[in-house]
Amino acid sequence: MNCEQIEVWISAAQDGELDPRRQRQVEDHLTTCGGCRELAAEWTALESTLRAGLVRFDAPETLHTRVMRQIPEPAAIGRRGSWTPGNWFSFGLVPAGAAAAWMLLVGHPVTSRQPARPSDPPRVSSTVPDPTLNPAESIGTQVSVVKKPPSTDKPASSGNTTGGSERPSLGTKATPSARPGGTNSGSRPKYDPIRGLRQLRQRRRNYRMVQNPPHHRRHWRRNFARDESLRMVKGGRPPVPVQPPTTNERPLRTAKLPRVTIVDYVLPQVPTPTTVADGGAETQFVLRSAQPQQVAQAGYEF
Amino acid sequence: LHGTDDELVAHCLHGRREAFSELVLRHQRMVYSVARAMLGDAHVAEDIAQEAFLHAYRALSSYQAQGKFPAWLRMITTRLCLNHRRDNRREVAWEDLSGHPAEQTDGPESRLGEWEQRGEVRRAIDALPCDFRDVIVLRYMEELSYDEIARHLGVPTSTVETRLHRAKKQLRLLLKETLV
Repeated sequence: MNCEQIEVWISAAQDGELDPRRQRQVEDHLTTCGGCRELAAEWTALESTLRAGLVRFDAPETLHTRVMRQIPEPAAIGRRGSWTPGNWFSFGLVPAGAAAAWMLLVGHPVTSRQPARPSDPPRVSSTVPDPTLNPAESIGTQVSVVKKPPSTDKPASSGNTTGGSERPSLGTKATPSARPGGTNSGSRPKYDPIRGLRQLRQRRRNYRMVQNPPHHRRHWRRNFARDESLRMVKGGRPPVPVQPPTTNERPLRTAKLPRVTIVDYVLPQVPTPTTVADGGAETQFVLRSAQPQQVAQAGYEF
Repeated sequence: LHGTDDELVAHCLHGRREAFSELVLRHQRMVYSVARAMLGDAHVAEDIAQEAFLHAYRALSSYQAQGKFPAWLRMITTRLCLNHRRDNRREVAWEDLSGHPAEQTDGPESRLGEWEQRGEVRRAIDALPCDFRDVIVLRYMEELSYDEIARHLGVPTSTVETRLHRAKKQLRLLLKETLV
């Protein structure tokens, strides 16, 4: 092995980075070659010079501040599992809020807007004259009298109307329930699950109609919007408002013309115009309007 | 906060910001020195050091606690320096030498020769190509092995060995007067 091949391995051997076999070869060559020993000594001096000259720099004082300024605060990160009131109100009450909204939108008609069913307690309306009013003024006055259902807890003997102070007892008569399943006119009938299910389905259908109107409803709005400002304009451009005339000239026609519809017209029956005057044949139009007199007064010209 | 680097990393992962502050204080000198030695510009080195710490903070969850946090941080810094050099494609000389003896009023006069020799060494290393400079810095300033240098630079170990040999040959010529 010559000196050029050993030269590459000398520094690696000094650093202890060679495998044992090559390390032994380099040591054997250095014992016999004086030039390579001088080169190895130069490498050793160079390494000590480099280690003395290459010292670490002092970090600038602003580096720590700059780094920590970019590190977010732990509160901003938000540790998992923290039970702060902010987290409760931001996430914990979402299902509760959704349930409350559902009850308001769907459940509210069940309790307040549901029409009276035939199985409800009899609400009898009768037309009776109001004794406090003048007979002449009480003509046609309708007074609704609601009769409460007879209580089952109290005996019937206690409901004696001998005092005469209860006005609902005047001329009122409870009608029997029209429900076939009703056993007693005063008692609450059985709940029909089929009817309740239909009502629930209809309620949900109405809710969907409000939230997402179907196609025919949108078409209805587009086709039957008579107002120009409400009519849909292609391209989304609003209608350009009519500007008043800027000149001092008097407008030719101030009266608003009635709306007319051309229902028929007759083509001129001129076979072949021989002169210039014959070419100016008039075309007859038949106009139809809801106000024919105004059409005649306005004087349409074609 | 006290403890090893791995314990501080564990504190950081639990949301303790001051643990990362302690890590920055411990290793900012190493990170800044590597960046400045490889890039040669103080301002760029400070930016790279800041970016290295931020990269490390974002990647703390991927750090495996084996007592090698400085090596992991040095690897990040080295890769950022290589990326910066690749993106800029220009060589920047060391514009100043910190720790001038004239600025140290109570320093002994014997440190003047040491500083001059240090300046000569840095100027000689500055004259090297960037590939040779990297291996010299990582070998003699960071005391890394050939395999570690190869992992940092992304080159084979044989390439590191060759580059070191060629860098030493150039430095021997540049520092002939100093070595004598």
